[in-house]
Amino acid sequence: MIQLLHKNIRFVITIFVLFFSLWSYAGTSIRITILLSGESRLYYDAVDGVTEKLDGASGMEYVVTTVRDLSDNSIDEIKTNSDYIVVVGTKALQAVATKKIPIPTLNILVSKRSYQTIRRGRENAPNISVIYLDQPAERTLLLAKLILQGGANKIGMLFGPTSASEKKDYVSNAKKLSLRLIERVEKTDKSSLDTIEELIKKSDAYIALYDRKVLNRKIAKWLLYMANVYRKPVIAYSKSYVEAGALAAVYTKPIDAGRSAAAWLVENIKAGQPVKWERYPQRFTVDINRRIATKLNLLIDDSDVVSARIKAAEVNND
Amino acid sequence: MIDLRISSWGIRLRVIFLAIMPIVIVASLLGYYTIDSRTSEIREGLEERGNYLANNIAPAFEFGVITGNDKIIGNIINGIIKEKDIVYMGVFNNTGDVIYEKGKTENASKIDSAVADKNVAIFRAPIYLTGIRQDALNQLLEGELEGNEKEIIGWVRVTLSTDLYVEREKVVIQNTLIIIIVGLFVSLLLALSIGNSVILPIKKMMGFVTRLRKGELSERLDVDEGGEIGHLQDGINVMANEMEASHAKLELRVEQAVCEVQNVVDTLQKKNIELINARREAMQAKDAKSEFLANMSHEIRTPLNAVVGFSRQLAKHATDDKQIEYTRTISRAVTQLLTVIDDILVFSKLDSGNIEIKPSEFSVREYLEDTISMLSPAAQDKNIELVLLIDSDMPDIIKADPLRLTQVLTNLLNNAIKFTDEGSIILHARMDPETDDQSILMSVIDTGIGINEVAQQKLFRPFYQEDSKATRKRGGTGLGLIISKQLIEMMGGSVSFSSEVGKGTVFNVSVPVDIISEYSPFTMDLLPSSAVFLFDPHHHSRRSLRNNLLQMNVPTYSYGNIDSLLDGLATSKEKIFLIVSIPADIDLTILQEIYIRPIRKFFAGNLLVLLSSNDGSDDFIECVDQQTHVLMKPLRVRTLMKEVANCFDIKITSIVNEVVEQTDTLLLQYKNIKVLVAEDNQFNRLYINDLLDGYGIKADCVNNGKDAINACLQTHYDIVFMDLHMPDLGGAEAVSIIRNMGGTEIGMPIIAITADVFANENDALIHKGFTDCVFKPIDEKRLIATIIENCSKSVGNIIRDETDNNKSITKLSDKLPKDLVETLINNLWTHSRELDDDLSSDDYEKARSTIHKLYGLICYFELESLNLAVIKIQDALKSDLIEEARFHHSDLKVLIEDTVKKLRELNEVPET
Repeated sequence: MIQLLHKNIRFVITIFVLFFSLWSYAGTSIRITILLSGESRLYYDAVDGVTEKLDGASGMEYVVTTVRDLSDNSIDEIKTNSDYIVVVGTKALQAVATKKIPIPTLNILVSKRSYQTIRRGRENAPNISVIYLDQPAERTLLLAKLILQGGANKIGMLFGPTSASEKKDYVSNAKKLSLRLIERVEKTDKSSLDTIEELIKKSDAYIALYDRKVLNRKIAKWLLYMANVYRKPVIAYSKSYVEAGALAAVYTKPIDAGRSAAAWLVENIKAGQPVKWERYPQRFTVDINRRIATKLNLLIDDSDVVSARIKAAEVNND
Repeated sequence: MIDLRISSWGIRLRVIFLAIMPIVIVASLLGYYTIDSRTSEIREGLEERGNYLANNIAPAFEFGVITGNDKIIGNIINGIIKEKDIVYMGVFNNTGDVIYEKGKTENASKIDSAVADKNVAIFRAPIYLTGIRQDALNQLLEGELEGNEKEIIGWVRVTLSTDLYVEREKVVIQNTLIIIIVGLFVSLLLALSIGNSVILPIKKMMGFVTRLRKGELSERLDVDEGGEIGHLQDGINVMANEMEASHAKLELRVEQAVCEVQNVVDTLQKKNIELINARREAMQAKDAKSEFLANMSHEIRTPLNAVVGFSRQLAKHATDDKQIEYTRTISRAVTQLLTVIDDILVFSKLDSGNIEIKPSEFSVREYLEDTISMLSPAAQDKNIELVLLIDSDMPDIIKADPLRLTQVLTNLLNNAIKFTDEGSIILHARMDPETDDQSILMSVIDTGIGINEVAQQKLFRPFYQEDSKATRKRGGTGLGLIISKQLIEMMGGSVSFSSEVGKGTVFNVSVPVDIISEYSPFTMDLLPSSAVFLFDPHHHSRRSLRNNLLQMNVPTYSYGNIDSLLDGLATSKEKIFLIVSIPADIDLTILQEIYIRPIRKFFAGNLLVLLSSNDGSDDFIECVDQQTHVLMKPLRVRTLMKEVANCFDIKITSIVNEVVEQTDTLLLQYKNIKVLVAEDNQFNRLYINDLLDGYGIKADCVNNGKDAINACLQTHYDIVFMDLHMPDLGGAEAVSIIRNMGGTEIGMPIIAITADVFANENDALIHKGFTDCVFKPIDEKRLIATIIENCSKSVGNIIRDETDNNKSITKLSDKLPKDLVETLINNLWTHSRELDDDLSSDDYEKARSTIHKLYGLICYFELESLNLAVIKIQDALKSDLIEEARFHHSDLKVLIEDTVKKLRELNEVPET
C-alpha cells in the first residue's frame, strides 16, 4: 500500500513537472514517452534516473505509461505525439518490438541476451538504441583480478547453451588481463553441479555467469555452497549473490540506467537527429561481501575504490 | 419403588447431592476434557513430530538428491534414525522411486507403499529445489520469463512408531482417572463432613421443634453453632420463648373464656329454666284458658239452653200478644248472647287451630232458604226486605261444610241487617264465573250505611269495629268478619267486599264445592188459559219470585207498579192466580187501601199476599176475604209451588209430596224408639224430654253417669243422649263403661250433649266412644235430625224401607188371593210366636229351626226389611248371641205387626 502510494505520488509529481514544463515552453517542448514494463519500483527508479538527469532542461515533456495501459490506439498516439521513447524493461521491449516505430527509441533495463533474442532480425533499425543491463566481460574480469591476491589468477567459468556465445569475450579479455580462464561449456540439460564443483576445485575464483540451464538461482545456491566448502571466492552479477554468499558482484542500478537514458536523450536532442546507441552500461556498482572476504582472508578495498579502479582500468584499456 | 423426586429427599441426602453432583459433573467434564486434550495433544505431537521431522529433514536431502549422492542422504538418515520412535526413513526421487531408505519394519520401493503394521504413523514431505533470493534486478538479468515456482525433486518418508504415544495416552487416562476418583472421594468426605455439620444441628433443632410441638415449651436449644445455624438456633429459642409466653397467655384467655362460657351457660340454664317455667305457666295458662272457656261455655250455655228452650215452649203456649212479645224478646236476647259467645269461642278455636272443615252433601238451595228463613225475623223487625236470589245455574246437591257456611252467611247477613236501617238485603247465589274450579259465589248486598276507606283497611282485623256512633250503637264483638274470612279461606275460598259510605256494601264469598247433582226444578203443566200475575214493588224480590215461577214452568206476568197491574188484570182473560208481595217498608195498616181494594175491583180470584213484616199482620189477616191467602216472606219454593198447585187444582208430583212431608212421616215412624237422656241439669233434662214428647217419643231420664249405665244394663235403648259434664261420673267415663259391657250396647248410638264448644272434636269424641255430638242450647231441628240419622242404623231398616215395604205389600196383595194372604199372615204370626217361645225357653236349636221356617215364609213377601231382620237373628243364633237375637227379634215383631196390619187393611182381612 505504501509502495503504491509512493508510486502514485511520484507519478503525480512527474505529471506535474511535465505539465509545468509544457506550460513554460509552450510551442517548443520535446515530448518524451517512457514506457514501463510494469509498476515495479525498479522501473520508476529508472524514470527517476531519466528525469533527474534532465531536471532543469527547458522544453521537456514526459509521458510515463505502462505496458498494461498500452493499446494500438495509444501506440499510434505515442507515435504521433512523442519525440522520443524510452522503453524500460523486457516486457516493454516485447510490447513495442513488433511495432514499427519511426521515432528514436531507447531500450534500457534489458539484458543483452534478451534484447538480441527479442530484436532478432531487426537489430539494424537506425532509430532503435539499447543500453544493456548486464556487464561487459572485461569489467567482470577486472573485478576478479582486483580481488584475487597472492598470484592467484585462475578463473573458473561454466558456459551453458545460452551463454556460450559470450565465452569468446571472456577468453580474450582474460588473456588481456593475464588471467587464466578455466572454463567448461555444458551443452546438455544434465546437472551442472559436478562440473561447477570441478571448476571451483581447479580455480582460484569462480565467475558466475547466468545461464538458465547450467547456472540458475537454484543451482547458484549450491555453487555458493561448494565455493564456501572449497573456500573459493565467487564473482557474481547481482547484489543477491553477494547477499547469498558471493564475495563480490558488479552490476548497474536502474537509476543509473535511467541516467544513461537521459544522456542518450541529451545527445539526441543536441544532435538534432537520431543517435543510435548499442552498448553496455557505463555506470555500474560494485558490492563486496566483507564477511566472506574475512572468511577467505582477503583484504579488499572499499567497493567505491574498486569501482573507481575498474573505471580507470576501462578507460585505460579504451 | 425409589422416589427420585428431590422434594422427597432428606436434608442429608440433598446436601450430599448438592455437594457431590457439581463435583462429579465438573470432574467428569474436566476428566473427559483432560483425557481428550491430552490424547489429542499426544496425537498432535505425534503428527507434529512426524511432519516436523519430514518437512525439516527434507531440505537436507536437496543436495544429495540433486547430485544423486546417496552417501550424503545415507549419512543424514543414519544420524536421524537413531531416535527411538523413528522406525523407518526413506528418500525418493520426484517420480517416487526410492533413492535411499533405512528402517526396522519396512522396505518401501515407492513413496506411497502401504504398511501392514498398524502401530505406526507415516509422514511424507516433498524435497524442493530452492535457490538464492531473487531480486528484481536479478530477474531482469536472468530473464523475466523464468518462473519462481518451487520444483519438487524428491520425497522424504518418515515412519514413527505409535507405541510410545499410546503408552503416554494410557498414562494420561490412568492419572486423570486417579485424580478424579481421589477428588471425588475427598469431595464426598468433605460433603459428608459439611453435611453433618449442617444436618446434625438441624436434626437437633427438629428434635427440639418436635418437643415444642408436644408441649415441652420450657425446653431450650443449646446454641453451639455459629453463622446462620447459630442465628437459627437463637431464633428457635426466641420462638420457643414467645410460644411459651403465648401459650401462657392463651391458657389464661382460655380459662377466662371458659369462665365466661360457664357464666353464659349458667345464665342460659337459668334462662332456660325460666323459659321452661314460663312455657309451663303458658301451657297451664292455655289449659286454664281452654278449661275456663269450656267451663264458661258450659256454664253459660247450660242455663241459656234452658232459657231458649223454655222461651220457645212458652211461645208455643202463649195466649196473648204481650206474652208472645216477651218470649220473642227473651229469645232474641239469648240468641244475641249466644252469638257473642259463639263468636268468641269460634275465634278462639280458629286461633288455636282446632277447627276443621267437614264437607258433606246437602241441598244448597234448601240450605240457602233455611238461612234466609232463620234471619228473616231480624230483618222483619227492622222492616228490611230480605231477598234470596238464586240463579238457575246453581246446582242442587253440593259437597261442602254446611255448618261453617252457615256461620259465614249468618255473620254476613247479621252484619248486613245490623248496619242497614232501610232498604233491602239481597243474598245472591250463583256459580262463580271468575274461577276455573267449581265455586259457588254468594253475595250479600245491602243498602246500609257503608264502610269508609279507613275502616275498609282494618275490616278483617280481630275485634275491630268502626269507631263511630252509628257502629257502636249496633254492638257486636268485631269478630264476625275475621271468623268468616278465616273459615272461607280454610275451605279454599275467598272473601271480598266493596262498599260506599251511605250507599251500601257488597260482600262476595266464593267457595269451591263438589257438585253432586244439578238442579232440576219441579214443573207444572198449567192450562193454556192459566197464568200467574205477580206484583212486587221491590225489584229483586219480584225477580226472585218470578224466577221461581218460571222455573216451575208457570206462565208469569210480573208488575212493579200497581197501576200496571190493575191494567193487566182489567184486560186479562186468563184464569189468574195473583201474588202480591208487600215490601217491608209498606205500612200494613194502609195495605188494604192502596193495594187490596183496588185489586179486588178488577180481580175476584185467588190472591196470595206475601208480607215482610209481622207488624200489623194479624189485623190485616182478619180483614182479608176467603179468596185471599196470606203468607210471611221468605217464601220457600215448595210453598210457592203448593200455593200455585192449589190455586189451579193441579196434582203435583208424588215426589214433591214426599219431600214436603218427609220429615213428619219419618218422625211418626220414630215414635216407638227407646231414648235415654242423661243430663244433670234438671231444666235441660226437662227441656229435652219436652221436645221429644212433642214428637211422641218417650224418653227415660237420668241425672248422672252411673244411673245411665244402670239404665243401659236394664234396657236396650235405641239412642242415648249423654251430657259430658255430670257429677260423680262424667259422660265420657260412662260411655267407656257402657261400650265395654259388650252385647248390643257396643253399637248403640250415644250422642254427647255439651255446652263446651271445645268438645266439638268429633274424632276425640268418637275415640271416647260417642257416636255424635249435640251442642247446647239444643236446637230442636238438630236434635230430631240426630235421632233420624243415628236411629236408622239400628231400627231404621224398618223406617228407611217403609216406602219399599208398602210397595211390596201392595204388590203381594194384588198378586195373591185373599184366602192365601190370610194363611200367610197366620203362618207369620205362628212362626213369630214360636220363635218367641223358643228364645224364652232357651231352646236355641228349635229357635234356629223356627227362624229357618220364618225365613222361607218371608221370601213370599219380598220385603227387604223383613229379610234383613231374619238374617240378623239367624246370624246371632249361629254365633250364640242370644241377647242380640232377642233384640233383633223384637224389631222383627214390630215389622211383622206392621206388615200384617197393612195386609189386613189392603185385603180387608178381619183381625183374628
